[in-house]
Amino acid sequence: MSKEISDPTSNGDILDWMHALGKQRDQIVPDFDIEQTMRFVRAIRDISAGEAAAVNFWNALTTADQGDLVSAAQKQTFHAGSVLMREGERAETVMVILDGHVKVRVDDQGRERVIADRRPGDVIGESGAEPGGVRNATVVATEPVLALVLTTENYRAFVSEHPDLPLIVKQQTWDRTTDPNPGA
Amino acid sequence: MNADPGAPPAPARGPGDIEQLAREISPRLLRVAFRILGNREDAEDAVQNAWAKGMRHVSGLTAWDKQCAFMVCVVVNEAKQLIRKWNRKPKVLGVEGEESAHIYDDVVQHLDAKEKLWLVWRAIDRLPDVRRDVTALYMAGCEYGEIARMLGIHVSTVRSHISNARKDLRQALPGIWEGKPE
Repeated sequence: MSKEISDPTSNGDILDWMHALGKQRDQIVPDFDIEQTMRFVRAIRDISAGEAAAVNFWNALTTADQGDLVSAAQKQTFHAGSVLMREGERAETVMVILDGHVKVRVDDQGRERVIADRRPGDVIGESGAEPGGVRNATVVATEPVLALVLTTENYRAFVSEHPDLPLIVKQQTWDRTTDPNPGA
Repeated sequence: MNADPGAPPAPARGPGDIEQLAREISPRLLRVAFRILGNREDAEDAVQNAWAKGMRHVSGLTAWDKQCAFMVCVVVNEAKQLIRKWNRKPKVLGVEGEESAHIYDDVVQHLDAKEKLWLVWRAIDRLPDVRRDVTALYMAGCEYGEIARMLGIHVSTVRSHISNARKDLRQALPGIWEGKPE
């Protein structure tokens, strides 16, 4: 089949060559798992639907900024119980939770202590995003989680392109540290 | 895909409707993205990104056909953005499975074919709005009638846009585009 497709660079018309290639591809479109897309759509919808009440990282962004963030990130799912980040390890990613909940815990003289409960719309791992940063807490999924995952490098680039962002992160960090019942 | 454009569902208004709209048209969007990108992972990425970017706007549109047309355009744009990312990475324009090897061979037989194809996409990006979307869908392998249905425009308009796009692209890519005689 592919041999019927002419050289795009020597037979004149790249537009028609690409058209023919697209038609070829149409013959082999795979069976997509639409539910993956639906989970993502529901997650975005639900975070935005709670916009009036929920103050979080995602809702503090403009629609354009949210788009930029999605473009810069990879989407990743985690099973319940998965460790998303581990205390003491080098920080290589920053995540924005789209669906599901996580617990943030620290090692307190050999005992695990939960210091925060993060939910859809929250950013996690941003405090270690500076070059050479390490995790100061462990993050565990308490249920299946869908997250946007950025490398720390991409996160820093995103922040530098969005000057208002540090204030949003600062606010969320403040909320986190002043949460009277963080494990709830 | 809505098989009968003469009887479209009501436009999506609320959160539940967005889910319904997404369920109805995402298969079409995934197909379009796959035709452009040639692999499953990037096609899913393009469609999900498109929903993230277009959800707010699409729920404000007043007709189902307009919602579809809008989302098709957003997906095409996302697919182009992904191709732009490919150009920064060692990845080729290809397709999944066994076919990919053949088409890959065809492409790499020709010096810097990938770069030339990227130049074509970049030139398409610079076309006027509707012409750009029509041309991108044609490059995705869609026929005139299919493009007309997806974008809610007349077939003759599609034909006209493609004809003009050939002229525009030939001018924009003099070293690459030989062009067929009109």
